[in-house]
Amino acid sequence: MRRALLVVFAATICGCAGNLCLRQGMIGVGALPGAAPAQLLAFFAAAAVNPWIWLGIALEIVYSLLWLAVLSWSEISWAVPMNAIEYVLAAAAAYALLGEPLSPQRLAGIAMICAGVALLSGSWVQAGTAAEAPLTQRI
Amino acid sequence: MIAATLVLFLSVVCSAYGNVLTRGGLAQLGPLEDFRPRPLLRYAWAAARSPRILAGVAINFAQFLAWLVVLSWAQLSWALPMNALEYVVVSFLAWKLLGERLEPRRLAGIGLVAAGVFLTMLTWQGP
Repeated sequence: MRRALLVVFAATICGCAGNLCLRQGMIGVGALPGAAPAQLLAFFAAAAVNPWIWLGIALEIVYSLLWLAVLSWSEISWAVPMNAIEYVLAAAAAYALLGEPLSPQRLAGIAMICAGVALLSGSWVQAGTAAEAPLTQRI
Repeated sequence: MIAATLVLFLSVVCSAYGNVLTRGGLAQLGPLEDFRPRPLLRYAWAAARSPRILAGVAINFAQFLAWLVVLSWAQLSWALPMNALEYVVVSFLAWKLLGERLEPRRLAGIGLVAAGVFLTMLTWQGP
């Protein structure tokens, strides 16, 4: 339980930091202008040589491995709402580090999403082990 | 906003489908309990030979490319919370494909997530 809590916490931090790096990288790459093959190729080529993207990918890989470890253990139902904590962390970090505006409406939207995820995962807490749990609990 | 939302939805559906495949394959492998290098390597090798896990990983790679496209257009605090739609998609899949019950509490959660995603979507601010 304590081991799982630590790993989930580390995973959340990694996932959040990874997404910040990816967004920072994509700001450098620039908006994809259209869906023509040449445009897509140039876009992904630019992304593939951006160091922020690689840092983001490395952090997301660590995040995935940590999640896989958690999800392969049983009694993970309480871990599911941790995904929603990442939304709050990422929004705060994007506001502080990337200068993204946080309007009251966006904050309200994020709060509703978190409440919904908490409700959804709360209904599975009694569900038992990962193997018996509903599919929804295992994502 | 419309293009970013559509690609994001595509990414969410890919993520849900890829995750269902990967988790299904991992459930067949059993829990990972031993973290010494050799058992870890054996586990990774077994995972790399599972068709379900391979298909899941391929779909998740496509999802990652779509996510990069979204992040080139959208702010992180706009796009990331909207990924919670995955819960709605998976609840729907579990209900449709596996016949899992949709009790009132879960329906309320789905409604809240959907409403929150809609509200967040409307806060779009340029690329």
